[in-house]
Amino acid sequence: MKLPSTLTPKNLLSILTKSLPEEQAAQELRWIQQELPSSSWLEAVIQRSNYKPLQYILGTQPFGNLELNCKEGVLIPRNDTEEWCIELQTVLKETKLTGLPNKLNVLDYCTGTGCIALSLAENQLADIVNSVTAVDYNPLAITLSQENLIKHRALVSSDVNFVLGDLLKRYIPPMKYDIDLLVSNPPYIPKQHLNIDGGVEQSVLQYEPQDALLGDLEFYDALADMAVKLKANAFVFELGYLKQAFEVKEKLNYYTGVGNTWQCGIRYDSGGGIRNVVGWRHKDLRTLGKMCHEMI
Amino acid sequence: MLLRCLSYSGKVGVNRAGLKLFNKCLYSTSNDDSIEVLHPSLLKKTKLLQDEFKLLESQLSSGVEFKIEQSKKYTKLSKIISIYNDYLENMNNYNELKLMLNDESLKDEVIEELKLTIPNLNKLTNKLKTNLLPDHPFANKPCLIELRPGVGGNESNIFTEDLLEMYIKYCQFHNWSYEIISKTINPSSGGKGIIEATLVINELGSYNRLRFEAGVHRVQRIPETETKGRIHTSASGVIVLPKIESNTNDPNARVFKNGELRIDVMRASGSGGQHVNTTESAVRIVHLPTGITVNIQDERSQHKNKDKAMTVLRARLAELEMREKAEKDRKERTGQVSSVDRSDKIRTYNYQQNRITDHRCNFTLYDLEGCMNGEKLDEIIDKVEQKETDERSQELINEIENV
Repeated sequence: MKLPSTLTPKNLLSILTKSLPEEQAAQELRWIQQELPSSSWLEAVIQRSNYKPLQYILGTQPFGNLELNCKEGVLIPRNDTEEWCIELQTVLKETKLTGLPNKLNVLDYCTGTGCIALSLAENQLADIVNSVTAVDYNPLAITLSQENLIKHRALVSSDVNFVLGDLLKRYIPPMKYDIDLLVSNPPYIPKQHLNIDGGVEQSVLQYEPQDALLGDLEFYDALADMAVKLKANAFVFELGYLKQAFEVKEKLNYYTGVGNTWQCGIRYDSGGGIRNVVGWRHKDLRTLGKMCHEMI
Repeated sequence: MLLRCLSYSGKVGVNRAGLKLFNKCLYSTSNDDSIEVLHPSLLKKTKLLQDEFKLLESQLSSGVEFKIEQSKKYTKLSKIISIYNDYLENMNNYNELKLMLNDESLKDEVIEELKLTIPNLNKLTNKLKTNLLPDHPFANKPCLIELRPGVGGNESNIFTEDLLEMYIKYCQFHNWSYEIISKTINPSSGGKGIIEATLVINELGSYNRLRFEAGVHRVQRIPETETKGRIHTSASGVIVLPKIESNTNDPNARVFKNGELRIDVMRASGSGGQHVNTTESAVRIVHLPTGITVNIQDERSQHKNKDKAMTVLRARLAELEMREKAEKDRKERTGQVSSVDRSDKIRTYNYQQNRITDHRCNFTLYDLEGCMNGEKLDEIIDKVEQKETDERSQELINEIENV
């Protein structure tokens, strides 16, 4: 690329507008200038115009009250994920535990940056959440999520642990308590969709770890299995396709066998896409039904 | 000069026509060598309040538990009475000094003494007048200032940014905490000028001070872009809103009913989720009953943008409701729109003549630089505030006399 001879805001903007719509380019340039020293602006703008995610360039992504560190090799927290986590926080705050003896213990598989785990460990949920254990099979993710825990120590009051382990191998982390709530945002883009035609952005394909994206029913099968094995009372999983929600429902039935009391619903995000499968089997956690748009 | 005015004010008494003449005298000289007379109706009202205060005081000393309303009233009255006592003391002092003027041997000393007493007395008179008026419903609130360019193209965008700078410097001058929650740079002018901005000033009571800034601000100058040296006139609109906290401790806070708000968040078209890592974080909130729409996109966090949009929405609604109520009250009393309340062209910034003229009180400050850097803005606001106090006092006097 031919570089402009002087580094004026206009020149920086013109580099960005090669790859981004004008308004977005102006906005992102402002953020780059706010967050990075001026000596890094040119490099940042060039990287961004080559589709490197802004979150990797700036090193962070806001997520509710958190500002999570982001690094290449670990999936960037999505605002669609932020949206349901904030909804889940609201629902949990309104939840009264009458039948369940203790505050909730949460387990999160495929934690990545730790976004879901940390948002459920926030001070605002101190009255209802006791502990959060989070698992990822990628050592980079464990390092990063621990870094994010330290960064947000003041905002987090539950007992939080990040543990290396593989969901597909049915890994169960050491836990002091029985778990109540299982959450996960596993890789959910099937192979045939993991391309531009499948709706995946250039920036995602080029820069984000494929193993955090590529996946399908096998993960939902494993999650349903774990929900039953660990005697969870409720779960919230992120997903991208309706068949993944049905996989969870069917496998819950399969693994539970006789006496399946699970109730399942699906939730759409504010963009209208199917985004979650939600389930509960204890009456205290019926409140999760507020997140659902329809029962399955 | 001193003596002429003194003897004049002595004669003025309460005669309305005389008061006008007297005021002329007051303005044509300096404020410091004649006294401003407190209207007898206001004096009467103060005495009534004093009785009320004594009653409350005796209740308090006999151990009656005050409710919030009573306690508020007590605080307000005690402030008035304390100013009133100061006023009486200074008035006595002044009267004694005036008698002593007849003594030729003391005259010089007395005049010196009067030079100190009179400004003091005038300050107290004004303070008393202000405090006798009912407080503005949002007097103790922090505020939001919304700035929008008006007529005048790019020059108007640039002037709007100048005004934003002025208010920021004003905050810095007073050591007030502030935050720009929204600012959109004009894309068509090479980064110069803005299409909109919203400033939040977190200082309690800043609303009461800055509400006088609301209205159209006009600028007359040669724009930087003007090659032929012609003076252009352009304008910017300033809206000042009370900041209402969202927590329930604030009695002005409101709870929105289901379906009262429509909140739109920017979402990538298509699959969403893991498929996209969009940075779009814009939020739009529409208050359906009123149609008020707020767009915020400045923060990377959609969550924060939503909070900010709610702050703006609450402020706009509070202001709207306040204006509707004021309008209703006005109709009931068939009162007039105060000249300070009008939100048309309130002020002109003329760069060539180095002046700022406020059209509501006809005051001109010949220090444009001093105003734009935030240090002299108070001088203008003081005059507007004085004008409002005078008008509202007059309204109060009319009310008292018509009872």
